[in-house]
Amino acid sequence: MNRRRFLRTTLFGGALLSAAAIVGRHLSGYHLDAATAQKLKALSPKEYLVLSAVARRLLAPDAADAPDPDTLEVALFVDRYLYGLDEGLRSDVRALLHLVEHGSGPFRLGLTRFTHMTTAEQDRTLTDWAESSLTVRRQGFQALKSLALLGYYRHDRTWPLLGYSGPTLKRGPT
Amino acid sequence: MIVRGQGLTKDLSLDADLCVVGTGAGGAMVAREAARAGLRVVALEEGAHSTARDFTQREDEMLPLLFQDSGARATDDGAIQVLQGRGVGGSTVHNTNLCKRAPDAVLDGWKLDGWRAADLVPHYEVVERDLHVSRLEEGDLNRNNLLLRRGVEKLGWKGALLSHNRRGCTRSGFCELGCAFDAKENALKILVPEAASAGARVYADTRAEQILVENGRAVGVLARALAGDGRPGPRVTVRAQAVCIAGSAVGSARLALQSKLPDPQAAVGRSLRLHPGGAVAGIFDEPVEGWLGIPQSYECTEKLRFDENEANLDRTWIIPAFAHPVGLGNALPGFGAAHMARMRLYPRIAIFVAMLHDRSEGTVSVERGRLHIRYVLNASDQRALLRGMRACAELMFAAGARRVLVPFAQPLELDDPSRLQEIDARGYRPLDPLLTAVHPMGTLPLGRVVDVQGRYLGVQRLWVADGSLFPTSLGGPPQLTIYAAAHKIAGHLIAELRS
Repeated sequence: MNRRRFLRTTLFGGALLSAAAIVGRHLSGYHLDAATAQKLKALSPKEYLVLSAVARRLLAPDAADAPDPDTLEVALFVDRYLYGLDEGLRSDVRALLHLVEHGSGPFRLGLTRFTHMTTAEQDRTLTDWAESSLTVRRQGFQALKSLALLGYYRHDRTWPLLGYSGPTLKRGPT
Repeated sequence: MIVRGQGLTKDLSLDADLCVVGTGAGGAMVAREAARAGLRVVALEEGAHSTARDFTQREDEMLPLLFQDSGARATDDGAIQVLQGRGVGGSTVHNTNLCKRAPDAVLDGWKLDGWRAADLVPHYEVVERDLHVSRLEEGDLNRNNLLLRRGVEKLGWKGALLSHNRRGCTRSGFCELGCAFDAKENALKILVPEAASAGARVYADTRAEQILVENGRAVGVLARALAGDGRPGPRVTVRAQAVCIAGSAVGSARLALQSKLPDPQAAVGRSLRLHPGGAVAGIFDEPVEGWLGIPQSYECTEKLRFDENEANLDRTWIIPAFAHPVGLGNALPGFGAAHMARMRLYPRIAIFVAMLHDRSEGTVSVERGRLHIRYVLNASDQRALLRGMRACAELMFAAGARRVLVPFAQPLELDDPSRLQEIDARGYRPLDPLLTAVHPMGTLPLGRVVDVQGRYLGVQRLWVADGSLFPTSLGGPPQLTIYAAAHKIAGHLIAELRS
């Protein structure tokens, strides 16, 4: 890709993503139970639901013995982790979640929100992000992957899957 | 005396002969030397004061405790994760104890008076003595490192055991999460306590925000104590005869920029080198269990030459780089069920990393109060990095790997050495593959921002003593050279203050 085309693509992509993020913040239709919503420190209920949907695909089990990310409260852990980051980084991640939710469809010539897609569509969407020609999308994918992995593999219930013996300092379960 | 800033409830004013910002390899060394010389020293550290009992060997708990931005620091484009320490002892708390002198060719290539290889020898000797640096032994090699050695020997390449600063090591394998057994002979365990014993006052959880300059002379530091959740608390004002910045290549540049220090050459924050590394995973039939034992004990230097010729693409230092589950997950490509299937291979995975002696220059800047790290690999560095990653893959096959995984965005899985050229053919673009940097250097380089005695040009009584000094990458782990450089600069500083 030459420089001019790259810039055009980046500018177009960036504008599209920004617009999607702005619009997305004002759309409704997200319901989270009150008990979970009360626990959130960094994310809004909508952002939490998007993150949960993303985590389910990023951490989709390959076999029945793998605990699912909801059981391990991956999104709730990520919320607490984000709360410890500085405001700038936290805002970046929140904006990213809106982009994934509302900015993914247009790249596939559709308007479906990420949370409303089938799992196959969600996987294709995440692959698009991972392999995109736009650095900002690859960056977004990597950020979400890192957060999801931290929330999942921190948990000692996942370690037997890996054959990982865990810390030498033993204590009770996570 | 070590004071936790979290305990401060009201503004505090302190007087000192010397205020040191940062307590990593550089700052702790300067603080100790100055305190031993009889100077009244105050050292400021933005992170916490943790000790061995705080190190739980769990990634989710140690990332926020020991790393800047809880381990989330990266270049602005996200292409390179920048892992830097935060807390008393700085990066010496989480590093893997690699103690390697800078190559003569690099130091001599700087052509700076007092910084030639021979000039640094006495300072290296002091550091190696005080921090109990010694060559590792045969029994210290874990399986991941043994595989690297096997590959090196099979190919007839150059490799060697490394030297470390550890004593009483239990080989638990959790070095990068802080040593729960207190076996690291580092700034946290040795230098900071020695500084405190000599009278230095160390304030943890206290973030330096501005160097105070009056009439062209540094006169102190404005800082804020930080609450447990990181929010700013009471002001801490240190009035001092002199100031020494040692907050790392990123932190020191940030402080200089925030303080609006003179910068006639517009060089502050520029010439950042990251020594970035690209990882390659090998899958073996035999157990590797790389999380057990000393993580990095053997090096391969076959692809590391220091001639400045533009055509030299052999500029990578190859070492094993294993990780615990979260870290490994990030190193493996893909997501979902395919990623989890790879994770299940954990006990049979070895990882080698090619760290680039980079020539690309990035920047550290502060815009609207926010830190920015910008760094783009130039074309020559991209080729050199991929060449190094290919060498990692070649070593994997030579060591007996069944398959080799290269973490491109579209995962590249090789089952035969005849396909190695596919690594170069993929090319590099940001985040593809993802890189990691643990050795930021540059940003306040000797000869441009700082004179050869470590004095900041244009501000009297202001010194710099950390990795930001280095005009180029060292091509290897910088901790020993940062300790040695700080020891050298401490000598100049003490002499000047006494005079």
